[in-house]
This record gives sequence, structure tokens and C-alpha cells, in this order.
Amino acid sequence: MSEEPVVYTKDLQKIFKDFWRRPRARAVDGINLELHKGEVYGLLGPNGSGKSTTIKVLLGLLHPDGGEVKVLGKPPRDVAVKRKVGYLPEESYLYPYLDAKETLRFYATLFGLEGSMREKRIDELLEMVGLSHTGRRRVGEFSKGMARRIGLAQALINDPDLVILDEPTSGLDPLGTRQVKDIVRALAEKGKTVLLSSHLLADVEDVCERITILYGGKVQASGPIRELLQVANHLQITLKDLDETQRARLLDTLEKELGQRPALEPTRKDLESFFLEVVAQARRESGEGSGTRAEGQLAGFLTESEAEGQE
Amino acid sequence: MHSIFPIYKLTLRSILRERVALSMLALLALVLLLLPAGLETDGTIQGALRMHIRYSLGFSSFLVAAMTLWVSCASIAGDLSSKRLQMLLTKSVHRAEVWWGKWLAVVTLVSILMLICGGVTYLRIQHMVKTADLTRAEKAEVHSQFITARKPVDADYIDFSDEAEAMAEAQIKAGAVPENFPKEQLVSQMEHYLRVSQNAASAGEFIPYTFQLPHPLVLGSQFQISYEYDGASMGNSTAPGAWHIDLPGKQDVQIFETEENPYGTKVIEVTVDEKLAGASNLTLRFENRSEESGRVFFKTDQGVRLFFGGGSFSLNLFRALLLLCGMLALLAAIGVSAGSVFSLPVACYVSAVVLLMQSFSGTVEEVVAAGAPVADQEESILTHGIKVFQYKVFEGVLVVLKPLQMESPLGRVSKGITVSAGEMSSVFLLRFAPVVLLISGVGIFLFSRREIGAAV
Repeated sequence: MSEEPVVYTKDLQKIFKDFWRRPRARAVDGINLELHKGEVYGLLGPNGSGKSTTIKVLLGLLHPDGGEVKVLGKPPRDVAVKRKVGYLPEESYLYPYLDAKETLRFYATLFGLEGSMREKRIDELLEMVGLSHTGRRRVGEFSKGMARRIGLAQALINDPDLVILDEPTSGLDPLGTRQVKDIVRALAEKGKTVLLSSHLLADVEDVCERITILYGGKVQASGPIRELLQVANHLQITLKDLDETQRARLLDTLEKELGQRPALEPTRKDLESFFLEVVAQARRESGEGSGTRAEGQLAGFLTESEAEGQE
Repeated sequence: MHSIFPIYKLTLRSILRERVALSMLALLALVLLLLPAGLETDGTIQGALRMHIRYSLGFSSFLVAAMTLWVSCASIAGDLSSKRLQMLLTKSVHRAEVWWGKWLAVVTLVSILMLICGGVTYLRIQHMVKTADLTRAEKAEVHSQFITARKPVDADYIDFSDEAEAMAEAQIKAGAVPENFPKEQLVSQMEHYLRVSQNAASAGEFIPYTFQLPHPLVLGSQFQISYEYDGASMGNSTAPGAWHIDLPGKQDVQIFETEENPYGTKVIEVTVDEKLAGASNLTLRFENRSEESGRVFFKTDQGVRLFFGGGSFSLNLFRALLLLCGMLALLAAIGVSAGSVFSLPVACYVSAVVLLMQSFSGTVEEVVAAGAPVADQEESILTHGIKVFQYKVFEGVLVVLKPLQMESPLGRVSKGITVSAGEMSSVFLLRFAPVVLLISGVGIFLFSRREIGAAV
């Protein structure tokens, strides 16, 4: 790709030191990353592998001890860069005495958003994350899931070009998880770049095109998710609506031709799809409960084209 | 700089919604209402007024100062420990904006608290004077000496340094002082001796004080002679004396005879007559009219002063409160800077040390002014070394405390002495503003370099 990468790191190093400036832990050790526009990129690894540290360096909260790092073509500490970045930390560190609207209003004002444009964005985002009905309730009283939702909304308030999501689905119910994944996909479709860090591998697999797996601060594997998960010499054939006779004939034919009788198992839904179907059915029958509501449509301002947004 | 205001608003909102301001106000109300009830005065209305301003309001201001440090330290360090700062600093905001937004919010809050305390004290004083069982003359005296704002004029400074130096030399030549006794200290002691002698009068002697007046005296106007006794060595309880007002070439233009207990501060009201009118300088002479051999002493530091005019007490109190607010702004700068560099407990500790040192700066100054410790023959080297070390520490502390030191504005208000607008502006512009800018500069520099969310 000829376009300048949205995130670029080369031999990124971060060493945590003690009080006497002696090296204590090499948290990030020579990480190379290159994220492009419109890409959803997964950063995986067990606890202490260097994911959060890498993200904090990309956000300008921590200073790299070596290597090169650029976000949107500039050093990450540049405030001009921060104007185009949205960040959801692993826990939503919110001001407990503000309500949802006040929270978003505060962050919007930091980005210089004012007046009706700001209020419109706030309403759209609250609608998107299903919190438009929370009224004057303070975020300190929110459940963890609700706090994650408001956290996601604040990460998108500035219509960022790069969205960094640290464990975005942690604490969310399956419905919320699906909404977040839908939002991530929709953001990528609109040309936003998403860097996603998660322990929930299924979520990453669902939305990411490329991933990097970290361990001990080093890159252990990196590349397109489809290539990395491919098992050599294993093939999967999917057929539908076979009756008993057809199945028996298929197995006999394959055994005769290949010299081995293949395993035959019915295709199963994944649990998430099943759960969502059950909840959707229940909702149709008994209406909305308290807490969040199923919205999940991408906020209007995020779907506008660049030219429209500038008007 | 567009982010300062949202951060300012957020910090104020946090203080209000987390009921910090309310608990502060409750504590201050308790102090303002209950402390005067627990303190004993000399029974006079003047004593009660002084107690209200100096102790009740003074203690409240100390409490507000302690609160200032706590709230200012927590404003950034608290957000850091709760990790909210991580979110904040990923937004389009400079760290300097965070610093200034937090500082402004703290200063606003504590200034409002300070002004409320001042307002409550003012109302209590007014009520006290109104309801006190005083004659018309006594009320007039209270208003002319306490519920007022008088401009002081000090006597010309007399330089004793050459005389003290010569006396010290003579002492050394005569072998009257130990060999290793520092000469500077000896000169300082001689100077002090000369100053005390200059402010003392034996029976039949005079003490002269010369004053340069701010403007020529106007016929019919009034001024006050205020003098503070520093004791007397005579046997009887009263000290007969007289104050003579002399003009250049004219002695005893007015004479005021006194027969009083030589203790505390006394005031003589002077009305400018035809002889005094137009004078732009005058000499006051105190005459010790005692028939015994005892001496009368006046305080060496501003012991005898003239007071002019009677400005507005409320405006004077307001100006004193503004000065205190300036002081609080300075403390807030220390707290916010400490909180942006250290963790909350360490920041609180550092700031509390500064506040305590500031509170005891008078003691520190006295220790330093007394001079370096002199080795005693019976003293071990270790003990002497510790004393010298202590002295050096105190010297260093004094360098840090200098900008924080100022004559207590409440003390002046309680004596009915004016805190002038010019003086207030100069303190703000020449002392508070540069020091706040310096502290903010250091704090913002270190805060900008600080890593947020480090794992170790």
C-alpha cells in the first residue's frame, strides 16, 4: 500500500525502570506494527505480554525507550494526533459524579466541539450504545456493561480516524458484545482504522483482518488472520439438506475413492448466535427490560462522508 | 488553551458533587462559631475584636490553607490514582491546560471559602460593637482605633552599624569575648543593645523619634500617636511621662502627659492646631518623668508610630482577605505541582511540610537571625556539629520560605492598620504572580515529562 500507515512502529522498545533508573522489566521488545486505513487490527497476548504498554506508547502516555513510533504520521504525543484518535481503556475510568450526557459533553468540549453539533453527536452516540434513556443517572451508578458502553461512546465523540479499543467487550453481555463488533465492522467500512486488544479470541477472530500475538514483549506471530489459522492439508466441505441415504452414499463413495472414511458431523450454530436469537425472541414477546437497549446502529456523524462532516 | 475552562468546570463540579466543599464549609462554620466561645479575652471589646479577627478568622484561614493543599494535591494525583487522567490525556489537551484548569478551580473554591469566613467575621464584629454595653466615647474609641483602617508612619530608621562595629572591635581588643566568637554575631548583638538603649529612657531622660509625614498636616485634622511599651524597670505600677511634639526650630508645640501602666499599646489622639498645620515632618520626644531611677522601654520594632486617616474597615478586611487568597493561590500552586509529580500521599506530605514551615517561618527566621551556633568549650564536637547542621538547614528553609513570608494581614486589620491597595498590588504582582508562575512552570515541566500508566 502506498498510503502512509495510520500506525507505524519499528523496533519499539519500552523498559520499565525502578526508582534508581535500573531496568526492571522489558515490557516491549522490538515490536513492529503497521496499520492501514480502514483496517481492523487485533493485538493479542496473555496478561503482561505488552499489549497495554504498546497501546499506551501509541497514545503518548508512555515514552518509548527505543525504536520508532508514528501515529497518523506524527509522534504520538502531538496534540494534533490526539484530535484524531479515540481510545477506550481496559476499564472505563469515568467521572462518577457526571451523568452520561455530561460525560460526553466534557470530552466533546476538550475536542473543541460546541453547540448543536456537539449535542447532536452526544444524542446519536447515546442512541448507538443504547444509553439514551439513562437520563440524569450518574455514571458511578452504572453497571460495568453500561460503563463500557459510555466508554465506547466517548472514544468516538471526536469522529476519530484511529480507534484504539482495549478489551472493548469485557463486561458486556453477548448482546452488547455483538453490538460492539458490529460497530467495529461499520467503523472499518467507513474507513476508520481500529486497533483492538482483547483476551476474547473469538471476538478478535470475528472482526479482525490481521493480528499480532505478543508474548514477553515480543511479536510471536503476525499476519492476516485467515492465513494464520489455516491448517495445512485439512479441508472442509459444507453440504446442506442431505437425507440419510445421501449421507451413506457420500461416505461410501469417499471411502472408496480416498481409502479413509471421513468423520461426518452436523453443522452447529455458535453459542453467540443462538443466544442472540433467544433474546431477540424474548424481547419481541415481553418488551425492553431496564439497563441498556438494543440499538447498535452506527451514529449518524460517523457514517457521514468526509466532505459532509466538514460542512 | 480551549481546554482550561472545561477542566476548571469539571474540577469545581467534582468538588461540589463529591461534597468536599460542603464538608469544608461545615468545618469552617464550626470553627467560626465555636472557637470564640472557647477562648478567653481580656474582657474588653477591643480584646474580643482582636480575638475574632486574629484567632478565629486566623485559625479558619489556616484550616482553609490545609484544605487548599489537600484539594490541590488530590486534583491531579487523585485523578492519576483513579486512572481518569489516562483517559483525559489521550484527548486533545495539553498538560499545561490540565494544570491551569485544576489550579484555577482550587483557587476559586478556597477564595470563596475565605471570603465567606471573612464575611461571617465581619458581621459578627458589627453585631458585637452594636450590642456592646459601651458609652458613646468608648464606641468612638473602638471605631477610631479598631473598626478603621489607619495608615501608619514609622519613625526614621537610625543606623547603628558603624557604632556597633566600633563597640565590637573594642570588646575584642579588650579580650572580653572568646577567641572563636564570630565577629558578625558580636556586631549584631551590639547593634541590638544600641537599639534597645535608644528606645529606653531613665528618669528625666528623653527618647526622640523623628517622622517624615506623607503629606503636610491639615488644620483641624486628626492623627494618632501609638506607642507600645516593652516594660519598665521601676518599682511602682505606673510610669509618669509626657510626649512632646516638636517641629523644626520649635519645641513643645504640643505636650501630652501620661500616667499609666507601662504595658501594651497606648494611643493618643492629636488634633492639628494652627501651630502644627502645614508641618511635613515632626519629632516626638518621650520624657520619663519618674522620680525614681527606673527605665521605661518601648518596642524596638515599630514601637512608636503615627497613624493617619480612618479608612473603611470593611474594605481593609476585604483587601486582607484578598491577600490571604493570594497566599492560598500560591499554596494551591505548590499542591497542584506536587500532585502532578508525586503520588497523592507523597504530594500531601511535601505540601504539608511547606505549610508547616511557612507557619513556623517566624521561628525559623529568629533562629537564623540569632546567628550561627558558637562552639562551647563543654560541648562535644558531635553536638556542635549537629547544631551547625540544624542552623544550615534552617538557613536553607528560610530561602524557600522568603516568598511565602509576609506580615499577617489579619494582624494588621485587627489593629486597625490599613492594608493599602498599592501594597496589595505590589505583593500580587511582585511576589505572588512570579512565584506562582515559577512553581507552575516547574510543575508543568515535570508533569509533561511524567509517564502515565506505567506498570512498574
